[in-house]
Amino acid sequence: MHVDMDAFFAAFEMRNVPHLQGKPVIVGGDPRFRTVVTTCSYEARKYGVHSGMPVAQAKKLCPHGIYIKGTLKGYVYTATILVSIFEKYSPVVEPFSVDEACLDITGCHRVFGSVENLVNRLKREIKDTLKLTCSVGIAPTKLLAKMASGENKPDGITVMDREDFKRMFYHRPVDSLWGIGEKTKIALNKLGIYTVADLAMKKEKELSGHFGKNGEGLYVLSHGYDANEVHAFDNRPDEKSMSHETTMVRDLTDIDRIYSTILWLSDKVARRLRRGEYVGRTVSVKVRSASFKTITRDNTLAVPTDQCKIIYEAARKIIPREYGLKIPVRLLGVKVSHLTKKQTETQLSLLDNHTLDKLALTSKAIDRIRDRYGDALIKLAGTQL
Amino acid sequence: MYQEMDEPIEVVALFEQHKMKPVRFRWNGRVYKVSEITGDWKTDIGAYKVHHYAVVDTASNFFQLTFDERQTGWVISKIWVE
Repeated sequence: MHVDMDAFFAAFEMRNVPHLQGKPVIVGGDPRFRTVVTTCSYEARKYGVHSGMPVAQAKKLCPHGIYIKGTLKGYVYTATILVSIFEKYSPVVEPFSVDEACLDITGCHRVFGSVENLVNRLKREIKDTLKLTCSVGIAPTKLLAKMASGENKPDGITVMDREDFKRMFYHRPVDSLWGIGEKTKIALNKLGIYTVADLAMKKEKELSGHFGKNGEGLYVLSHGYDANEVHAFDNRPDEKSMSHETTMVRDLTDIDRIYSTILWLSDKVARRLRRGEYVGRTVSVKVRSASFKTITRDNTLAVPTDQCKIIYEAARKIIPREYGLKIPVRLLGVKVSHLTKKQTETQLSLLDNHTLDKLALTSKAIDRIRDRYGDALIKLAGTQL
Repeated sequence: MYQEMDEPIEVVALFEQHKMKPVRFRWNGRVYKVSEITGDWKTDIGAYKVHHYAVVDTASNFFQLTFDERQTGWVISKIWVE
């Protein structure tokens, strides 16, 4: 079963401020800056506004809309309440994001009498507790359940098996499949694949020939198959990577500010790595220019790390020199991948063990202070440009 | 639109079923009676909690009231102005 909150962020604001009920509400960062729409109310969608659209464009389509910066921490807190509700209905809950989750309800319906009772009780509890609505998809696989939940919004319930999937989706554009984005859609269109049915007609070998490993995934997707199980929150597979990125309020043309932002991002990634007890071997940077050209560069370390200083230095080295100097920068990101669980024994490194120990001890002390007094209390001096 | 602020207020709160609920508050010498708590959530600042309440008064005005455990004090953090 897939549960998707209806226009979650907008609904949260509309619940809190009754004046907003029935109005086109658009949530998307500070509207004075160039941000994108995070979500919007169904009233705003009638004007063509949708998630991911630049706020400036939304304002053209819906000039009388109500633009709100949003209450991120309120959304995150509400998501934790949601998970605690979900866990009353299934022991296997996999949150996909703050506003959606998959629940394995195999066998759980026996406790509630029927699947219908289970779903109705869940929806009612969410409504009573949070005064919010959700849409539910019920299907034999995660993929189908996810796609079903989007079929009958808001406040709907959709049951879908593989035959329903074919009937409902085969005539639709290929990007209506979960996981097919703009780039894949363009690549598929070039091959004459426009609808889900077109994709389903292709042989797996042919798709693999064009898309490598992803070809198999596309084939499976188009037939509504999905072997992925629902992973309980505590039993998820290990993380593969951790990253942070930020879009600048104004394009950066100063290399020191670029380095300062990279340091800030490295600090955030390193803290998450330490929290999850991971170390990572590959450091990547993502740089998007003002003209929307995006590049990524990787730097593989001799020894995996969870230290900000090491991540920052590796990231800094791979930023192309022309960025900032000749090319204004719109977005920066830092990612650490090839993660492994941290081992207790010290590993050999190019840095001597004494330096590594000092770094680790300093980070540990900073983490403890931040855990007690909040992340904002200690900032790295280099991030304060 | 929301207007953000950070103005100290005096609050009368009820402790009910392990929850704290603001029932009235004094702001700029005027007393406002909370007619409905439309939403509530908490945020962490390190080991401390900050409690947020979206409330509507009897005249249907919206306020966001915030209680910070570190300072044991209440502020109005947001109002809605047309």
